[in-house]
Amino acid sequence: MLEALTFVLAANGKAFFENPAYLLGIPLIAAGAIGVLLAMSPIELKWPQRAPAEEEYEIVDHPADGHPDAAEYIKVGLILAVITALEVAIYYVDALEGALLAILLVLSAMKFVLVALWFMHLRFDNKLLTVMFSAGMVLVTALFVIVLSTLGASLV
Amino acid sequence: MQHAPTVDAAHETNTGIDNRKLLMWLFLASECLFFGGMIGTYLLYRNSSVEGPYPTDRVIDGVAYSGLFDIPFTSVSAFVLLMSSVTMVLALAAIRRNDRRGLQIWLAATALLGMTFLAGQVFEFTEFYNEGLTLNSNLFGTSFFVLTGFHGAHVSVGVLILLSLWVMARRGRITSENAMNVELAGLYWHFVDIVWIVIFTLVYLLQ
Amino acid sequence: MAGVMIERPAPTVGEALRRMREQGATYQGVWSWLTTIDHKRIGLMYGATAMFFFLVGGIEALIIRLQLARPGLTLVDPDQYNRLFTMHGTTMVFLVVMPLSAAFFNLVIPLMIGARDVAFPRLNAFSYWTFLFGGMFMSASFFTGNPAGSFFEGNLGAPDGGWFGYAPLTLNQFSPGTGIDYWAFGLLILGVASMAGGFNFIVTIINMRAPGMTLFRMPVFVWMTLVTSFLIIFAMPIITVALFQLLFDRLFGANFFNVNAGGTPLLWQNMFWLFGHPEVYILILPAMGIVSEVLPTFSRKPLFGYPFVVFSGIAIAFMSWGVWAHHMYTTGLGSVANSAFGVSTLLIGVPTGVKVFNWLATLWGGSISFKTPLLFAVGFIGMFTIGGLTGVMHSMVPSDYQQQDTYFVVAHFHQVLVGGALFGLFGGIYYWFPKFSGKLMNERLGQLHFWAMFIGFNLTFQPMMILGFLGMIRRTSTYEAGLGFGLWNMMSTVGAFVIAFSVAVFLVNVVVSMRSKEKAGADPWDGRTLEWAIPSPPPVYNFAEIPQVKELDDHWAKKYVQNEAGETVPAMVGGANGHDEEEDEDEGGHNIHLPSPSIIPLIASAGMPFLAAGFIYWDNPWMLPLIPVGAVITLVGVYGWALEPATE
Repeated sequence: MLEALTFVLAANGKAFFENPAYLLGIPLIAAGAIGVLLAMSPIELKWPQRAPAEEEYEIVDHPADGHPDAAEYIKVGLILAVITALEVAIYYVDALEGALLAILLVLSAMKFVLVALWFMHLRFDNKLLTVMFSAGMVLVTALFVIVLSTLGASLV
Repeated sequence: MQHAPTVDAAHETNTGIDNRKLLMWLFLASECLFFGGMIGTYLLYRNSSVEGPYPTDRVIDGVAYSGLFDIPFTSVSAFVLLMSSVTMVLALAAIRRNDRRGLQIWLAATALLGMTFLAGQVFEFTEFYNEGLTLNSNLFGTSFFVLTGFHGAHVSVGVLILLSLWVMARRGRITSENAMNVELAGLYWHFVDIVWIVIFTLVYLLQ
Repeated sequence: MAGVMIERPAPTVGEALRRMREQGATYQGVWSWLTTIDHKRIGLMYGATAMFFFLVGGIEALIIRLQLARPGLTLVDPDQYNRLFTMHGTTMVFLVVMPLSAAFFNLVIPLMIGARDVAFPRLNAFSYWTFLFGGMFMSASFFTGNPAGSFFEGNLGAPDGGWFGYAPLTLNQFSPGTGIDYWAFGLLILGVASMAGGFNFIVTIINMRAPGMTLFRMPVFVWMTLVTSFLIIFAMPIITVALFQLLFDRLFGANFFNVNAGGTPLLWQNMFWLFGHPEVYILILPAMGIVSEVLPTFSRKPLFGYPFVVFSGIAIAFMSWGVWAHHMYTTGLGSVANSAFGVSTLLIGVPTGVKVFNWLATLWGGSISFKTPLLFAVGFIGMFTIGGLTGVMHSMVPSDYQQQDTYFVVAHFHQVLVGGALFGLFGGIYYWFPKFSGKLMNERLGQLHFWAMFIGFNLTFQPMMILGFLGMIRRTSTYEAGLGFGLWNMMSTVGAFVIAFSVAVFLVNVVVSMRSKEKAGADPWDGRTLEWAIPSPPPVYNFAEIPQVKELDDHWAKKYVQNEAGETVPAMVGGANGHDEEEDEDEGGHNIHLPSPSIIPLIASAGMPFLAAGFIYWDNPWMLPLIPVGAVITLVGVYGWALEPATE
């Protein structure tokens, strides 16, 4: 569907990359091509066996691994939705113009942290993973704050 | 997505972290630097374009330019991507309980939301293009298309992974034992989502 | 259905692939090398490929030195000179020193930590093939990179922007042709290879250590590999961004470095050196690790101040992120920024100095045996110290203003990279050669190699220091007579040929040693670390039984104990070599579960050069299809990888 859209968008024959439709189109078309090739070729890539339709499986109610359950995830999702709505609302409130930068940064940091802690399970996993990911985040923030300030660019 | 290619499967890892999970987190940490570089460049060039079109309304030398950014539209697509994170984590929660039907549903939902986001981006790019913004029109076009384009490419890869997982799930190949496959795909997907959280704030909302 | 002839159908592709995998598992023939996922074989391929590129880069250096031997020579014209020094720098950094370090990571790390392989054997093979294809792709620019025509029409190609590729000098306007495109895509591909390796070794070291091997029982080389791998995975993405930006500018007319559109050249410089300075430590830290293994072995003493050596390595890695702008003092960052980076650069000398003193203290009072590995290690200490001290000279801003772009800088970084990294790596080759070939390297030829290289090295690069102070500008294809440069340049050229001779001696030594009948035995140096506990060359599965580690230098501790008088004596009857290494050989090997060989990593990495070529020539309708071809190959590789079982 998206592939077709890409063709339509690209139809007026503009140069590559002058037409941004290519940017997304190429991976999608390539993916389509590979699918067709794999489907038609005699290559046995050990496709997974189709399981018998009536195969029985047990649903475990409370897997004992300390991960939160679906209800908790949905709660976090609701909080995320509210924060996004808040961000957009604040964007339109003229009175908050001066504090916009600070408020937006705080709100998006909250979203970031919520997703990382709950959805990516950093809260429940080995601390080493948190350390490594934070290392990347802190490093890149520090480096580019220095680069931007030495080059005279500022956020405000 | 076969099981971990460790030499000795029975051998416990020193830290108790699955090798592949550690690899994924290292990859994501390294991706922070990649997107940081892209976003840093955008911020550096934010007000450096010497000619239009510009992202937001502004008046330069008495000429009024109307901005390209459509905040309500982008808010919706950012919201779509955020919700796809919720469905992704529900897919994981489902397969941890060995609920294979739930897994299929939530994986498909995540992939669909991802494709919706991509379609939104294709629409947005086309709109901007029609307004005269190209890769070479000015610094805004250059840094905007490359940043969001690379993010879109990451989302496309994520959609491919999700669809592959979905096919596996349809064939009953994913159980609570190899839920790690879903967890890894989820980590990647959430990362792509939090990158968009940053981009949405720093690129679209900051003026 | 007896009696009915059933015609055997031709084997399907899948069946043929399966047969080839079986053949690969038999551990011989070309196919077994193409499909190998054994870390030792991959390490050997890394080493051999890096040596090949070392010869290529060396020949480039010799041409440069011939051109500069006397004033006003015209062996190459300025354009060709630019291409040669660009490729010399790029080749030596990305295709020689980094992969040689990677060769040692591959060969030694799993053995040192008592593992049967790395955490992701197929990813490891993928790293190697990607490195090979990236190197080949970049080198292809020699043939086609010149806008005036191909190599076969007498035009030398290759990029001409220096290994630092400063934009906007590397934009189409100033660097026409495709040389820089090959360079940028080549570096992107090599970046993928290095990062895959980096991830792999971090996971391996963090997760795959033998029981009892805590972090502070790891050999220093393992520590330095871990630190280097972290630098790689954090530094490479930054240069990736910069290279993509450069390519978008060159290929699709984007504006990142277009000054007319408001772009700034300092963006490139910042991004390049953000990567470039950690990269310097990516080159030197593995060599430091090797030296920290060689010195204790040949002075028969534990490494002096092990925790200090480890922590100073970590400190160097941290601080390497805060010094990049010392490459940019003269770009007008302002005095505050310059001072801050000057101070941080001075500070990074401290942990480096700590290491040097620890190495010296390791030698102090040891029973030293001056075998070739130790010669190189000691040479490393001396030459690296000079290199480090000249680096400290650069860190002072006013002094640097004078030295900027002179031969003093060239002398400094060759002092560090040749006298430092390369000496360390050669020491490593002599040290571990017996482990992987089963033969000791010839000691006489080794001594000749060292002394020729040491003398040649000093003859080549010390005159460059003087040339720098005399004011000779680097990256310039010739100089005028009467400036007083002639003598020093001639010395330098002679020195370069002495180095070339020493490398020839080394290659002869490899051949001679391989043909030698003499077996090295499992532990020829009376080593301290786990790799010496298993036979040479090691069996496919490395350790028949995963060792239990009880302390630092565990292998040594199993061999020697201290008696009441505090003297070190062999632990058991039969002396130092009384360990039961030979007994392990036949036992167990067939029951050990090893991953199957696979061609998939090679396929997965083969797509990238196609993609790159397709993008370079995208405006040519005959070349554009290379993009989908490359994409399909890559996707076949990725899906094949996901669907192929790791073991059969």
